[in-house]
Amino acid sequence: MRVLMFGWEFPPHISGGLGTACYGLTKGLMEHGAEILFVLPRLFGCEEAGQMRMIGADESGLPEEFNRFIQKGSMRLLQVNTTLFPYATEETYAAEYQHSFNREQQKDHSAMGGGLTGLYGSGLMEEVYRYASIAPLIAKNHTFDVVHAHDWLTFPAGMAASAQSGKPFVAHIHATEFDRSGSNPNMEVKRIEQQGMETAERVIAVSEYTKKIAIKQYQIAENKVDVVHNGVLPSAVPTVFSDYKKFPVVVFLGRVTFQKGPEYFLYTAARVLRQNPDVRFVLAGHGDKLLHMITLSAQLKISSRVSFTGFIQEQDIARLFGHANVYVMPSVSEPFGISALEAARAGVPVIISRQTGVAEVLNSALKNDFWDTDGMADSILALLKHGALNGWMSRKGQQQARLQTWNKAASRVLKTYSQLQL
Amino acid sequence: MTTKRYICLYFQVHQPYRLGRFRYFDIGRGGGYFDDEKNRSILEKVSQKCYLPATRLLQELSVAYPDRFKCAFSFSGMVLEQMMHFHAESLSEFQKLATMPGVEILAETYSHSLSALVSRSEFEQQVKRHDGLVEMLFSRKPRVLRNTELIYSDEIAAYTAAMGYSGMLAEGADRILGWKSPNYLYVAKNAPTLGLLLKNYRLSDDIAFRFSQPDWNEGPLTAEKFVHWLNAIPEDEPLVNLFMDYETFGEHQWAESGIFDFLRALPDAVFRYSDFEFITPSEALSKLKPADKISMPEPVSWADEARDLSAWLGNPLQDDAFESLYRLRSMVSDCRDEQIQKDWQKLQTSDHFYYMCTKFFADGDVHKYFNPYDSPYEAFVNYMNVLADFELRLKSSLAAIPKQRKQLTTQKQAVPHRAHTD
Repeated sequence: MRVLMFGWEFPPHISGGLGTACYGLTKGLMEHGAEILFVLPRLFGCEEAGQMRMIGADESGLPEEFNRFIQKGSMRLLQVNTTLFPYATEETYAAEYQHSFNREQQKDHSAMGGGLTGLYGSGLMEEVYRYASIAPLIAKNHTFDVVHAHDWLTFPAGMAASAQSGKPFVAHIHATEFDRSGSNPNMEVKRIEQQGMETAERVIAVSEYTKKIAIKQYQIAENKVDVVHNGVLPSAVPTVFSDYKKFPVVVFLGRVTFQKGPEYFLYTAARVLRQNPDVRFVLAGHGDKLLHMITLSAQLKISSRVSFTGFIQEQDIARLFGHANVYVMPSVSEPFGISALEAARAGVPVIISRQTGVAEVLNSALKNDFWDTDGMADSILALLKHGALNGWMSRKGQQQARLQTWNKAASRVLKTYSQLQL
Repeated sequence: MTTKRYICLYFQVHQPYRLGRFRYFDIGRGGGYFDDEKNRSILEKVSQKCYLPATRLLQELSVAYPDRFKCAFSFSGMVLEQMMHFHAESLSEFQKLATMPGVEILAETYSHSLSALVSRSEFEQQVKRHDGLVEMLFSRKPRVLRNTELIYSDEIAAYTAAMGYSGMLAEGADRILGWKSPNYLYVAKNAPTLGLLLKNYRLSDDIAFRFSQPDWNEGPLTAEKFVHWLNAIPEDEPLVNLFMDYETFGEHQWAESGIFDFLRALPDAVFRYSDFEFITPSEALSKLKPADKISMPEPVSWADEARDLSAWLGNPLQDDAFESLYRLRSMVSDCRDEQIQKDWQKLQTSDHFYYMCTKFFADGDVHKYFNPYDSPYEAFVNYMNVLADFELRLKSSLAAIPKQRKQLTTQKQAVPHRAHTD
């Protein structure tokens, strides 16, 4: 099976769960003998404008095991120059674009030409279509059996490659505009998602939760959608248990955005602190809601019990999980929620909102509706009070996380491929 | 014919102990909050640019015009401590200057704190502690008090009068004075024994802020021109209070701006072209008759256009940080750990809350957050992490103290005391 896959981020340069998922999934597929040409946009810059670049085995910064696959010839990575940036909205994209533009200018004045609208195009949509415009060329120059694209930013590219080659198109849904923006979706994004899912011969959703959204919000036929739960890789950095804290620690880890429900974490914290003033809450991650959350913690008069770490490196996550007593994921709408599995893998008891996909595979987790901050607070207090419950959930969570492999996910994806008209 | 008229020069000398970066992971480390290297290098820089040259110049002027050139200083305990540790040369120049008869040293809070707004006893303790240090270093007993950032209210005036001081410095804010002129001696309405010297902010700020502003239509400012303005003041107004940060000379206004030449030429120009004389605050209190009573029910400061507390308090970050700090006060007063007491002083410095001011910060600008110490949110998060560590130390230190000592400390607080008697 030869797969032409369109992604938008890949380790080591990732900003969220999607890069990790692409990494895990391609690894799992190759273990099953698939060959993958993985196309991804370069985040910033270009040595020569418009160039595509095949990444060799000697490419630094890639996970070591990939070099093995690359050497074997079963994996090829193709980078396309665009300024595409993961998790961008039009607003953050404009700022990021300006930033990368300045950096590029410092590097090489001659390559850039004129102002903001010069070489790259200034809007996120424009970049999505720029990425798509290169896809037929890639499709023409390579042989493959199936086109597989991850989320809306890559759907136009995937559809273009499929149209050029006549090969079937699989749309993989990691998140929808309804998860990201609630009842206030960007209609253009929604339209691309709609078109991608309709054009696709099969749709893969990362959870039953997401499948339901595809059926309900996008009117996709139920029998066209397969559910493939994400896996979790063994941790690259071993959990650090020596970083002991003298106080109970409750952790939120994720992008600080509407979708992740960080404010429910703080409202819950305020309730817990009324019962147990010694608990410390750590809100780890960065995002467009971070400054609002800092202000909210002060308004709730709990800032002396809340720490904000900003973006957090893997080594620090390993330290954090090593001493955290509870992990909370109060997402408003979470197609999957890989970081809950990562917390469980490290032995941290997990509380998740019912509005998450990961709830379907992590039976041991305590579940509450994201808006039910009373219920969430009770769960936290129970976990802090009852050592036996905490220990049981820690062990159970680790077991379940261990079972949730990418190898298993990949075999499900292969099953989807086998249903295609090849 | 005319009564004698006076200029009262007063300089504020202060440097905070700036915090180093203190992350969530550092909580529990047990101290080490302050960036010694940064504080030392800033003091070195300010000493070279301001403290040494300006103080030597004032020594020269005191020698050149004995009994005629006069000025007053207030040193925060924070800057005095730092000079003792990092810059003995600056301290000894100040000490030399202080031996000259026309130089008065004022009282203030040891920590350059906002304690007067929250705790009378903390305020009194700090003022007393500061008096002790001034006596030790300068062999002087301050008679006149200037509170942090010239923060004044009727309530603070009452505290100060009860401590036995004969006068206070305050801002001559328009909204308080109305049609009244700042150029008289006043008394506090609710404490008639307490004389009030009010800053003439127009003439003070001509030197402190506008001196080297390129777009100022009055620049360049010469001593002659300044004396010309002094002469324009109605003849029956006997007292012009020029209050400013000492760092005006050489640090805020660089040497290249001619600020030192201005200061050097000022006494001669005053004596030659006007009938003004220089006067210290204490002399002003004994020589001049109060023109009226002044009441400031709400605190007034010398900061910003608003002349209120909004530079340090008022936004949610500042308020919660401030409340969180002073919630610890009763525990601190029970604690005998010397290092904890020292850190308690340093953490109260008003600058920490000034850094959290969002008045000039575009809300929601995430990119600024990345820049360390470039955002009020960063300052807040860092401070709260420090405070969390401090609280842990405090609690574990108290856990080791037997109960009866605590009673002793409470008794001591209840007894009203004068500043200079013990």
